Amino acid sequence: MDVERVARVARLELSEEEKELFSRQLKEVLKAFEVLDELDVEGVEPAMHPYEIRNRFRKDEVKKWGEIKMPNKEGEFYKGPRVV
Amino acid sequence: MKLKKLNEKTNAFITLKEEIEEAELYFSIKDNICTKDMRTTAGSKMLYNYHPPFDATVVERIRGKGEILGKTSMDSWGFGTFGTNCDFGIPRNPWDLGRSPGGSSSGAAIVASALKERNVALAESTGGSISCPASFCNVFGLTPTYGLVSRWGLISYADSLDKIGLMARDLKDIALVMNYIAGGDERDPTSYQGRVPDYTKCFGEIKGLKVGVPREYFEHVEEEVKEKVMDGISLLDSLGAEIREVSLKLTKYALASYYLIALSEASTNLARFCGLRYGLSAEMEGEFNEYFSKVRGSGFNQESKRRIILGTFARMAGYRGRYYLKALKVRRLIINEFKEVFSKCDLIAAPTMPILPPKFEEIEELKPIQVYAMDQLTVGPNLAGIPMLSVPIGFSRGLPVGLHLMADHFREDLLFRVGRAIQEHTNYWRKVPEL
Repeated sequence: MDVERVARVARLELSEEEKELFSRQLKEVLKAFEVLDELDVEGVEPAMHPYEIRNRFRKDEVKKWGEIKMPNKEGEFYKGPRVV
Repeated sequence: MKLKKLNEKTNAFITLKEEIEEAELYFSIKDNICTKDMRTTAGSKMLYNYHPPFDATVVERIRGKGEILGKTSMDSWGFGTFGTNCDFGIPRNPWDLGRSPGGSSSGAAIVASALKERNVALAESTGGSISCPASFCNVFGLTPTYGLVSRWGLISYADSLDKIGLMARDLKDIALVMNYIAGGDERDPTSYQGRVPDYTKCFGEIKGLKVGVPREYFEHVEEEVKEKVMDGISLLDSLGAEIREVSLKLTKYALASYYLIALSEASTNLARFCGLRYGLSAEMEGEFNEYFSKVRGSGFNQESKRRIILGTFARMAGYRGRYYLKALKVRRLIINEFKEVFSKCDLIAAPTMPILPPKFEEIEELKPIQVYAMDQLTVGPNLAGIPMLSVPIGFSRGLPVGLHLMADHFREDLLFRVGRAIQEHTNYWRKVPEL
C-alpha cells in the first residue's frame, strides 16, 4: 500500500515515522484479510445493511438550534482557508 | 456517592456533571452520544471543545427518567477493544486497575459495575463495544438489533453497524430503559417502525428453548474462559433448555469483512472533522487541502489515522472491488449463516471474549492485527445486526467472564428471558468491585 498517496486522498498529514509504521502494520493487516479470497462470492448480493431497509422520507423542515462557537465564525458565516 | 474518587481511580468519565441531584435511577452516557448541556468529544481531542446544540434522540427519551451523571470514556470514535485509544486518560478496570476494562464503551462498563447506586449506562457498539467491556467488568450489556434504537445524535463510526445499547448490573434496569428508548424515530430513517414489546415483561421459563453452541466460537479461547462459559451453558441445560452443538463455519471470515466495512464507512464519516464547523481548528494558512490535512493530522490519534488510511484504501479506485465490495458480499453470507442457525435454534450461546481482561503491558506488546483479532467472537453478530447480551457468568483469578447470548433480529425478548433466568440462579452479577 502506498501510504503517502492514500494519506493525500484522505487529507491527512502524517509524519515520516507514521508513514513507515503504518506501511509495515497495514501490510500485515491486509495479508491477514487475504483470507477472504478463499470464499467464492460470485453472484452474491452485497449486504449494505443487516436486513432489508427501504428509503423513508420525512418533511424537510427547518429547525433552529443553538450556536456552536468557533473562532472562524463571522455572523452566520464560517471563514474558510484559501480556495484558489 | 463518590464519583470524583471513582473517576480519579478509573478515568470512567471524560466529563462529570458538577452538581448531581439525588435520584432513584442514574444514567451515564457514552461520550459519542450528543448532549446539549454537556461537552461531547467521542473520546477524541478533535472534539475537545464541542458542545452540541441538541440532544440525541436517546437522551431526549431518558430526560426526566433519572439523573444524568456525565459522559463516559471511550476509545476515540469507538476505535478500540481495550479503551487505550481514549485521548482523555486511559480508563481502568475496577476489578484490577492494572488491566483494561474493555472498549470501546469503557467508562460505561466501569460506572455500571463500580457505582453502588442503581444506574444504567447508555453505550454504543459497532463491532463489540458493548459486549466486550460488559464482559470484562461483570455487568449485563445489551446490544439491540440494528435499527431498534434511533442513532440520531450519535457521532457515527459506521452507519450500517452502529447500535446504541445499554449496560447495567441489574438486567431488569436494562429492560426498563429499553422501554424508554426503543422504537422508531423519523430523524433516523434506518430506525425500526414496528411495534416494540414491554421488555420488563419478558421473563419466564426457559424450558424447551433451543440453545445452539457454535464449535468455532471455542477454538481460540482461553481455558479459564471456556470453563466458566461451559458452566453457564450447563446451568441453561439444568433449567430445561435444549443444548445442541451448531456450526458457524464462516466465523474466521468475519473479522476481515467487519474491519473492511467498518473502516470504509468510518473513513467517510470522519471526513467531516476538518477544523471548520466544529472541534479543533488552527491558523488559516495555506490552501484548503493543506489546512484540512494539517488539522486532521494533529487532531486524530495514531489508531484513528491508521483506520482512516485503511478505510480510505479499501474504497479507492482499483481496490474497492477486491476489499470493500468483497467484504459486503461476505457479510451477506455471514448473515445467511446466522439465519440458517436461527431456523433451528432460538438462541446461540458462546464466550463473549476469548480472553480475560488483559494487563496494560500485555496490550502494549500487541500489533494492530493482534488487537483486531480480539474481536473475533463479537464482529460476526455485529455484522449480522442481531441482538446480543453479555451476561456475567463467573470469575477466574478474580477477573470477570461473560457469556454471550445471541438471538435472531428483534428477538430481544428471548435474551431477556434467558438473562433473567440466569440472574435468578446466580449471584455473580450482584458483586461490586472494592475500590
